[in-house]
Amino acid sequence: MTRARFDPLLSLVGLLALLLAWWTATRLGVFPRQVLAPPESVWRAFVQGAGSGELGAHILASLGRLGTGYAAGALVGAAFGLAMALSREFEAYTSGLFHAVRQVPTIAFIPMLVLVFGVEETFKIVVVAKASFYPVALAVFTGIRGISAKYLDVAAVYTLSLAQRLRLLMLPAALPPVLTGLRLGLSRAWVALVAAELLVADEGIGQMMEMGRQMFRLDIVLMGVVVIGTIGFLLDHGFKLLERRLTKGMSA
Amino acid sequence: MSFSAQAGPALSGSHAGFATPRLHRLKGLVLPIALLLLWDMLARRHVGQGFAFVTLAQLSDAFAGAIASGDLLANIVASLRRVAIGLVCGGVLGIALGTAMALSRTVDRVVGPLFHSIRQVPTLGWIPLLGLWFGYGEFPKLLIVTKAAMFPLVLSTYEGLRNVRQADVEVGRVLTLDPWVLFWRVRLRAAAPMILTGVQQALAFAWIACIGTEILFGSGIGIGAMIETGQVEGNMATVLLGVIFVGLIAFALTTAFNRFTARQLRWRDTEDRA
Repeated sequence: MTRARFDPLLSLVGLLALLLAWWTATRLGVFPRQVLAPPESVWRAFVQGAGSGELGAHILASLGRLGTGYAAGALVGAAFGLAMALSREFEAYTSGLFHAVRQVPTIAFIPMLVLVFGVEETFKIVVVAKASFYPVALAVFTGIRGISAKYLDVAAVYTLSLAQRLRLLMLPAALPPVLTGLRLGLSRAWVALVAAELLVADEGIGQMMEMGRQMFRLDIVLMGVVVIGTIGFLLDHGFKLLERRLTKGMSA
Repeated sequence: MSFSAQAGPALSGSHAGFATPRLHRLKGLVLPIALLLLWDMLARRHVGQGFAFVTLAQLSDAFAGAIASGDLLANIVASLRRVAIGLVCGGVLGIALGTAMALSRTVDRVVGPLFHSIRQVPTLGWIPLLGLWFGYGEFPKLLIVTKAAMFPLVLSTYEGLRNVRQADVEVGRVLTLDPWVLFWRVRLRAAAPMILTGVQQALAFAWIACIGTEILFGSGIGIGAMIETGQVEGNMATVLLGVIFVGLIAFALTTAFNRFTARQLRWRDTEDRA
């Protein structure tokens, strides 16, 4: 992976070949239009959706849920992970339940959450929060537990208070794994949200795709696939840039 | 994606502190039991939307009923069968593509960007499209599970083969090994631990994707379909039963696979020590 490979032309060959094959297949009428919409009609669906503001509204609805749920899930997750890392007693009482629930994928909780919270906004935000809670809690827990005992001994010799230890030792030492956990939490939250919206929603990018499917609008479904892929990529990539900036100069 | 390699219980309990391990373990039971009792109490008082909470008696009745009728077993078998087929197909395809990308720069450059673009779309995001193309039968479900199992294996096979120690390969060349033997006996063997990690991930992803597809398609049999039916009927006992078994099976699969890998990779420990 370290090998530098910068050959944009060759990299585009695969994508262009796929696009060309797709275009030719629709041109020659290999598949009916309801089965494979031509690339230009997907583009038209995109332009139309963007022009009418409908696509923007769906994306905003999804991102709003993602933001709220992620903030809640990450905050609670960080607090939980911190409490588990600092107190063996808290860990003894909670870790059993924590790890048992962790075995169940978020998607399997969706129907249960529908029964408890209904199909409104709360349910979707809870799904997102659950999806982001675990990676963050685990990252904070293992990040702090992973700090070398030597450092903790030095902190003890200097009789640092808990607040000082947190600020001077634990935060900087655990930052890289915690950032990775936060990034993982964000991408999982996005995946869970798309799934929740596919199942039940009245607005949002997943719902747009589900409606497209029900109306046999293949162009809209394909456009949705591209949009969720792009948003997922941008979220992950943006976070990676942030991570690199924040941990600059750290050898970890 | 909620369960992973470093399964939990090992983390706790190992640092029991001053308490004896047994007492320590008992503490872990306090919270689940308290929650169950609270749940049961809420159900008895009909809090919530009426069907949100079920009593423990209802839950155990549902459990006994599902076992007696054989429904639960049939659903579990259907889901596991999908995972098995998806793992085999996705495993073969994933290892083949990962190998091709690792060994040939041209394949890497032509297929790589395409692969990484497709990777950006969450697996379950393909469901509306596959539903349109292939309907609601078995095939699109198997396709999703195969895709979920395939992608982590492409990545891990690629990484594993790329990180083979160059010295090992050069020794093979000096010995003028047949390229096929070189690949089979040197490269693949060195990449095996990484590939096994990929299989482990593929197993987890395939299980999640299988449950997810069954829930989103909401048709046929399978443990996810059972959960979804329970939700549509407002039957929390069925939903809970499904969720519990999804978790149990996930745990069993991960544990069994970890045991298997530990056994398979014993040679590595001795080699590293030497």
